[in-house]
Amino acid sequence: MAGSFSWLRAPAALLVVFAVVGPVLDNYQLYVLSLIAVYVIFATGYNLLMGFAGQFDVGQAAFLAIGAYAAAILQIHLQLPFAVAVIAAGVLAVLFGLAIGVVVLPLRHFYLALVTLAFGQTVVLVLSLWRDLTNGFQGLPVPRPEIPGLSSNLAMYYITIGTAIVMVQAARNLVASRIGRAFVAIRESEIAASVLGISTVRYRLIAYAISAFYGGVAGALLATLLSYITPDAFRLTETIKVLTMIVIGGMGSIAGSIIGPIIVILGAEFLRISQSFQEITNGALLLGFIILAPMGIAGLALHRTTDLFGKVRSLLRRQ
Amino acid sequence: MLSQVLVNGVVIGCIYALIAVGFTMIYNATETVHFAVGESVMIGAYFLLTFWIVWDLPYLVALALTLLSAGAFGYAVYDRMVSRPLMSAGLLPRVVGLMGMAAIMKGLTRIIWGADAYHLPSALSTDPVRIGPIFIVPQEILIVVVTVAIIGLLFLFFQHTKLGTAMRATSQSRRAATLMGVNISVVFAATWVIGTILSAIGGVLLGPLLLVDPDMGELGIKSFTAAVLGGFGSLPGAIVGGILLGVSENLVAGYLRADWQNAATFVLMITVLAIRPTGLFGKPDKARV
Repeated sequence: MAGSFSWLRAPAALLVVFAVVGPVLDNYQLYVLSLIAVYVIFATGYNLLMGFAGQFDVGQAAFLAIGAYAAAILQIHLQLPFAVAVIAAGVLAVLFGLAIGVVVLPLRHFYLALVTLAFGQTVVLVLSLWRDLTNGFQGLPVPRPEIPGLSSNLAMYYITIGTAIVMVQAARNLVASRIGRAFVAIRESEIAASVLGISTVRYRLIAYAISAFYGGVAGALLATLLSYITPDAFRLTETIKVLTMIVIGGMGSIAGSIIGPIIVILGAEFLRISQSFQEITNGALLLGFIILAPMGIAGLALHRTTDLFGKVRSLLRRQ
Repeated sequence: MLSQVLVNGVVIGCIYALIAVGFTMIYNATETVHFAVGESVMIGAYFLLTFWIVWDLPYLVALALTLLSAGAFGYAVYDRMVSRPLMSAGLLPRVVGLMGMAAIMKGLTRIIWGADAYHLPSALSTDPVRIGPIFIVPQEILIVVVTVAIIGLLFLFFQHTKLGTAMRATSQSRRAATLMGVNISVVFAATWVIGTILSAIGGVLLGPLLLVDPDMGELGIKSFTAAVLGGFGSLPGAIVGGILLGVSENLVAGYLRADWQNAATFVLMITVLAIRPTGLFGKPDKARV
């Protein structure tokens, strides 16, 4: 009995810490922490699909876009309450995730990347052209939820941090479950997995649905946090940003999905660097990590034997 | 109307075909899906812009410099910095590495040349010439002639030179080619150089038709689509796929709505992969255990 809920301790402790710290933070600190929380949700979902289930997706920003626009439109046009709009955004993203999952079922490795790339571009194009609904390139304002007694920024901080802790814990439980083990088996070898009696069709679809849900919820929260969205924010650059996060943090690691967003977002905020420099640093981190430490920081921490300097030396010698 | 749309489609399709041929060569020899191919097109256009307009060199000198720089870039950056360190790492890490490199190139372009869009003038006159019912611009005739010439030269290169034969051997089986004494590093280097030059020529030819800006690389997806249409890994397929894509785009722009043109690319790619993943000329992709 005592041990059966031990997994609840860490998230509960974190919740208490963040709840206590919240009121003493200034608005900028609240914003940065909320932004990190949103990207932790997004990166966790992406990592479940890419790192655990091994499905190579480069259109993940599409789910962020779908969630963001769904939340905005449902609140503006249908006056739905915030919580309902966020969940509906997640569900809508799941429907799109399943559709893409079905299209890519017969395909493997880089063909997945091509289809999801085209899907990501299509979503941005539709959002730009469907002006009646999305206001095109001009973008949409997104309302902020009001919680009595809390400032708008503190309310967003509690919502995003709380959601992130719950969803990360759900992902931790998921990867330790039968479903998580099936994901890893499919990643390692689809043929071997199906020989073991794992339905690859079913688990690949589950992976797409779950990661789309995380993306949709993250999108809804991101839109609310930023208060304004345009289609341009969800282009390939956005996917590359999150890809950088999970590669730095560690593919196939939940801890990595938390480390990555912290580094990328704090780096961008502290250095106050321009969009172009962010693109360059993200690209350089992506390239550097995939060559020198393909399992990311989580991988380095796990296997201390990974000889980084030896790798650099052997690379230089080969030149 | 229809014949005009078809002609325009074939012209732009020729450029897509050139880029897709380079992309396919790289895939065949190095098993790398070149996710930065659009950025190679972009730097081709920017190099020409710099040498020809900014430095004010004569067109042919600027063009020669552009192609040389593109080749050097292909070797130094793609081959030595991305492809080779990741050669033993598998296909997906190489794709991720190239996406990182593409982001670096895009950011650097924004810093060096600014975020504004430039117009690259065309080499030949833009006054349309009337041939029967259709209007064609001399620049467009040049595009078709250049494409046919380059593809002819590539054919001769692959069939009749030692390096070309070595490249074909490598794409059939890297191990067998090595055992027959083919120097794989030379083949990889040559492939990246030629492939990048082909993309740069694409950028030189596309520049006058589109705007040159740091997001130009997004049209890399067109060469993926062309390659998928023709069947991944097939050189004739890449040519036919490129022209088919150019024609389909122009049909959509001409008969439906001009701003849906890019949607044609995405829809074609997703449909072909969903219905017939091997494309028109591709061989069935057998699973390896």
